[in-house]
Amino acid sequence: MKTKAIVLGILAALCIAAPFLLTGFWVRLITFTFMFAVLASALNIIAGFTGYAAFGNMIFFGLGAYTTAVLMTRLGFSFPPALACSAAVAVAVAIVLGMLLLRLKGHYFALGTLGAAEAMKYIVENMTKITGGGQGITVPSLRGNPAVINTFFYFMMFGLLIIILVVVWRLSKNRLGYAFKAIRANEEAAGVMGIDTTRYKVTAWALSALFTGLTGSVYAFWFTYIDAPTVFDVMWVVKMFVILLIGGAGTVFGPVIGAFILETISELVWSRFINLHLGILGLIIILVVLFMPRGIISLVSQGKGIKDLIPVRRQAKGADR
Amino acid sequence: MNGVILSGRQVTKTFGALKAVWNVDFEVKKGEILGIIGPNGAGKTTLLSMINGTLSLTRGTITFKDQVISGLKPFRIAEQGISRTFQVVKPFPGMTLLENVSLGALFGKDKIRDAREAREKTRAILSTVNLSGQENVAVENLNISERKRLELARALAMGPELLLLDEVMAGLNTGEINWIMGLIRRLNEKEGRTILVIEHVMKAIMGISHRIMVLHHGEKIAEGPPERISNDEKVISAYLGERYAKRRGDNA
Repeated sequence: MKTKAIVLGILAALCIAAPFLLTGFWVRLITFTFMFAVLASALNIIAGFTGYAAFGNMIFFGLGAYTTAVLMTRLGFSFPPALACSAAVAVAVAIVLGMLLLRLKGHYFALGTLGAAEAMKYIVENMTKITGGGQGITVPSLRGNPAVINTFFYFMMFGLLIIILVVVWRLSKNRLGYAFKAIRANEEAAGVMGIDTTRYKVTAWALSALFTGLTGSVYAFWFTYIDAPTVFDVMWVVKMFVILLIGGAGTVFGPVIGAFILETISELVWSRFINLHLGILGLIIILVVLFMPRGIISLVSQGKGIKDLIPVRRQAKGADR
Repeated sequence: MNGVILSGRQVTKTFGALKAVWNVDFEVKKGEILGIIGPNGAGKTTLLSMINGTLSLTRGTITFKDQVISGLKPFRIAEQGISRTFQVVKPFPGMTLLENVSLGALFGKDKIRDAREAREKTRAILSTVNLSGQENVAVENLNISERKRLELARALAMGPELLLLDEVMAGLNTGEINWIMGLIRRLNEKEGRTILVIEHVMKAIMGISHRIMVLHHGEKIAEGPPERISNDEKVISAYLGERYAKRRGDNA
């Protein structure tokens, strides 16, 4: 426990010092990694803890981005109230959609959310007067030294990551988290235990939407231009699921580890094997799923090393003798 | 209420043309152990599932403490003080034994808000079912006997007034069956819990039940004290068989 606290303290100190020591490229890359870690952690609440594969989570990312963009552009809001409104819109939509879609289970729920996300994309795209339609929308940008702006967004994403990690860590120990895990394990038995499964599922999705919406809002302010095909792109969610697979779903730090590994590998592979990078990434995902179905974090949490992945075969050889 | 805590009137469940449970009337008195027996497919588990809300009724009503509970969702029925175990045990994987059982304290009748407090309360229940010392074991690593006791502990942690037990002794050896029988008696006599139990182990159900209800093809064919049921011609022909009746006669 003490070692864990020391390691986390050192990592936090490194993260705080990083923007003052690294070049702009690396600061932006780490900011991106934080962003994916937040998005994957948010997905982790509904998919990892509660067991509902919300393939449409980019609805909240897109809505968060568009709410901020529209409020700042059309109504002259400053960023903080726009950020709060983005969170509120994402949560409200998650509650309404959740009441409808969380009646579905398994693949049906995943497809339902995917359909809802596509519908939302077209709705936003067709509200031309408000959202700018296919032309997208340009958000008022921060003015000043680019290095300072980079640092500002770095700490925005880092702050969101710390908050969601605290929330997810609490979920791993508290009443709400127990309800989520029971629903994931067996929804019928959870109901029999006295858990109002509908209410808790909607709560899980609303919590997931809250952080996804906040991230979308910061993204819009950071990138200063958004359009519906980008912010409602299904690839966001695909990447979040890959991060969860690599890092470990239903754990506190799995999504963070997954995000760092995926971003590092993407960067290395992309720059060296431009034609093969998707194939290589695919291969890595297959290897992780085959040998570490609970993600890389399972090696840490079970105190195992890479060599522990092999003894299954060794035992089998021994048995043959 | 006349001491009746649970009652059913014309309780019926059909699946298409199949009459799983047909026009069953029953009453369970407070502090009583009511055994339900019958051949496989007689409708015993279906009846239990209708009582705790996991299955809806096709027709009829079920009343618990003078309130109609048929039509309520399972979690609402659990809140009223009814908990059940499953024939096929359903532990929550990915959680420890202590966490599994503390769910009962968190969401059952007492609704303890604090997870730590719930875990502490649960330790005593683990001791009741002889699972002390295994608090942090992952439930995936438990054997069948331990899983059955976990299922029972989880139901007890909900603080039920009425406990529905669905074949808690299936797959256990004689020693384990005797131990569970003793536990059920203690829960009934010392803690005053009303228990409705389904079981195929005749020695056990005849030994612990105050009354027995017999189902066959979804219909109630007999009801009464164990001695009368074991000599009932209809029950012998539908379920117990001549060999059982003869053995009982010889033992007597």
